[in-house]
Amino acid sequence: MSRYDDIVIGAGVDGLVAATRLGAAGQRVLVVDRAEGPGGRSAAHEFHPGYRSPGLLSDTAAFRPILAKELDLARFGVRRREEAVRCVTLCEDGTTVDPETSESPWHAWLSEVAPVLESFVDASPLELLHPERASFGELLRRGYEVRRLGRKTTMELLRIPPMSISDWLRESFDDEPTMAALALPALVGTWLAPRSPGSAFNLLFDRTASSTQVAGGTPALIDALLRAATAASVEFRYGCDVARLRMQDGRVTGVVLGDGETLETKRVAATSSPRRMMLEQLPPGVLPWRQRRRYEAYRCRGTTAQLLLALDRVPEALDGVELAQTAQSLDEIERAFDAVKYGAFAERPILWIHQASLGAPSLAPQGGAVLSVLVQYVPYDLDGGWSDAARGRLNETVMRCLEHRAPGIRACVVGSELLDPTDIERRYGLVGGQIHHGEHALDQWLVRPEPDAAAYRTPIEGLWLCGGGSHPGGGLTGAPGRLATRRMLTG
Amino acid sequence: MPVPTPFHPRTSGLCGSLLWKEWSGYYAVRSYDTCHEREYYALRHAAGLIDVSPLFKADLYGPDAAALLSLVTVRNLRKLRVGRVTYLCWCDDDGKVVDDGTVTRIGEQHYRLTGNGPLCGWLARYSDGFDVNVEDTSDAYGALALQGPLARAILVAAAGPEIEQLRFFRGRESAIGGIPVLITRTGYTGDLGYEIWVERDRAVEVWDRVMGAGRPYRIQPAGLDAMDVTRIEAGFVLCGVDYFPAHHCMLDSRKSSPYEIGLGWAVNLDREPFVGQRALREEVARGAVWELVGIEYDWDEYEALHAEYGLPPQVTSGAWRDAVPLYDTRGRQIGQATSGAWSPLLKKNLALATVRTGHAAPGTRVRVEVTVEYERRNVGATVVKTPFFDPARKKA
Repeated sequence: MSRYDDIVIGAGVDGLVAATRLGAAGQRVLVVDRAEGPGGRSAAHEFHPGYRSPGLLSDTAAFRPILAKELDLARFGVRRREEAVRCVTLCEDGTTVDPETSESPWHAWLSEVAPVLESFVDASPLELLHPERASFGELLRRGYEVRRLGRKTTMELLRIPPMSISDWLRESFDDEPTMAALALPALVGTWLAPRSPGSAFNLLFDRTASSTQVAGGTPALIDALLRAATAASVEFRYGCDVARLRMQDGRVTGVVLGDGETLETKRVAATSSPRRMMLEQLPPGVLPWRQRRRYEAYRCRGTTAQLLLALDRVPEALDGVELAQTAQSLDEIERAFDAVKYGAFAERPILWIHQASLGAPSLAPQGGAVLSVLVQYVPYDLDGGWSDAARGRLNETVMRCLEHRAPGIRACVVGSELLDPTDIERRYGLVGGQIHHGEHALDQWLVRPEPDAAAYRTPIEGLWLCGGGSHPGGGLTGAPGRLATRRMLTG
Repeated sequence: MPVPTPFHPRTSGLCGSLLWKEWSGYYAVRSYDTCHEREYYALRHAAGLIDVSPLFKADLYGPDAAALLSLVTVRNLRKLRVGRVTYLCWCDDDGKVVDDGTVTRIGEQHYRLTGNGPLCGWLARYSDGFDVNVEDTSDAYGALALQGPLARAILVAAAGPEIEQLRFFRGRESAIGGIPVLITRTGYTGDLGYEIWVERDRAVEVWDRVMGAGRPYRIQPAGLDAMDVTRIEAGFVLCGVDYFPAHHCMLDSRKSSPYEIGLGWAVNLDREPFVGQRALREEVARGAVWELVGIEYDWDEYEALHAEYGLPPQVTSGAWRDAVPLYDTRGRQIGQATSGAWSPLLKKNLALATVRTGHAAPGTRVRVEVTVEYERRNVGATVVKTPFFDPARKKA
């Protein structure tokens, strides 16, 4: 008899959510993770004495409110902040531009359609290949939701997603720094720029599927999820990489760890990158070639580097600024993207800056600050490969950029860590250094990761995909873990 | 335009008929004489030497070579010992045959796969994660099939007495006139015979040595027309004629499973996963729809049918490969005969046919379409076991 009903691979947000839900439903659940602690892409680690990283994904605004309710996370200390912190533009003249203060009807329209987008995030994708699994009530409800919007709004919802951010925003705005601040958060981690077709959907998603941040940031969120999981009798094992799945008669029977140990289970819920799971961790020959091809074609090109900075004091320009970005215009983002297409990083990269210690003071000592800077766009396949010299050049480029926006910052830096996309791949097990477990792009939003596994269940009996490589994507939403387990528990 | 094989300097001089055909991009001799009959009789009564260089070849090296071949093909090759050859096929994910060929285990970590179509692209689909080096050696080696009852005596004279001991479907590295060759006791004629694999630069010398050793035994260079008749007598299916490679088929109905082309015996079903396993398991549970059989025409009826038109019975001297419909005795179509030949040795009109299961038992009476004087008629035929011709010397 199997020792576990379910083994969840990965102790990130999705893994913890999935494990908690399965555990709460009475399953015997084990979570395994290659890292030495929980958190996955949002795990804290000390990168300089006294300074901890908020993780690769550090903005908690995307975490689904419905999960807090369903998992009763308030009991474990999850509180949302009163107001959402939104990204502002750091201007060359030292001022900031906050797009939220602009009085455009664009914002009002977004709040109108938000419920539809939220239901896209909070509901499983329709299983077009298996209509017998879809519930009639669900279909009716969704149809009604769209109907309720009225013809005009419905038309807009059909028109906008395939557009580019640039075309869409220019219909309502003409101030470049405002548009840049709206656009950039939706482009971090993608292989898209403001003029890319379909990028409007990323922005639509980014704006409507987020709420206010979790008080205390990622450390508080991970801690609460961990306690919720423990309360649901979930067991944990860290520091063990999954070598492959064990299968018998076409179904999953266990997980074989890197050291050869086999853990028996009836099901596996994997939150790791689908490409890694399906192409590297299944026994050879199990996955039909047709499907292999689809996973090989599932785009996972990393475009992001992370620079973590430990500051002993905060430069004036960043005083009180929690989320900021450095592009002055949409064209500036577009130009920064050009380089990555040809294997180089941008000479003037766009920086998404999160002063994480403002929301999570525990990350830095008193008076100090931790900045997580996501650098856009930096290729995984750098021409000539990633070396210390290349990392040095990138570091200098980023610091020059930062110094430009926040004069004096160099003098405040007491420690730093730079992760290029290959470092990100190694540290977090993210194929291609792709921070979302697969690029966020219109086609990969709508069917994620591939048609036969688009509703979490894979063609391999007993294997479920529950991470960011599944609907609705690889942000810190917790939604894949939630929706996948809902399917798993209803059979 | 086709290119010459490594033996072309010799075959071109001998091919007085100028009857060439294109085989996998190479010039191949159909028959050296204007009629292939002398070559056919050499294959059955003495020995024939056939240039089979256009066969596709892939050499696999490395600790995972057996694992990769076991994944891609229907056989578990981990069990194949060094010096052994096996015949097999490989399938797509739906369990439909892509190609058939042989695998020879040449060394501990060295295998050679042969096939009718390109191999390396198909292997590359599955070789990720395997510690194996796949080399396309199609062009690197010339291959000669020395087939016929006197083949052993000739090869012993050319390569040495150790060939005497080489058993059916075994292979060994040897030398002919000091030139290293691989000799396998395999062939496509269903008779005693060997195949000789030699690096292309030394190919002509080996041809000369074998022809020289064979002269006292009346060896003949033989072309594909003669081989085609012998392979039908031997009951061997031909890819692209009796079945079609699944990855080239437009219609699902054109594809065949191993069970449908008489290769079910080659499938090792219960083992670690291999390509097509799931579909083949389902097919075994469900039962195959088609079966490959041999049929023998009723000669008297055939003769009588022609007599109706005032004609003597007509058979083509070579093998035919334009499929004709097969009917049951009540006139319902039950399949098709896909290739056939008049066997000069057996004095029988033979064909290989694909029929619906239920009509495959030996002795089943069927009717096969025959066109006489532009009119489509049919004659009776009987399902018989293949091979039609199976001499004891083949395995002795």
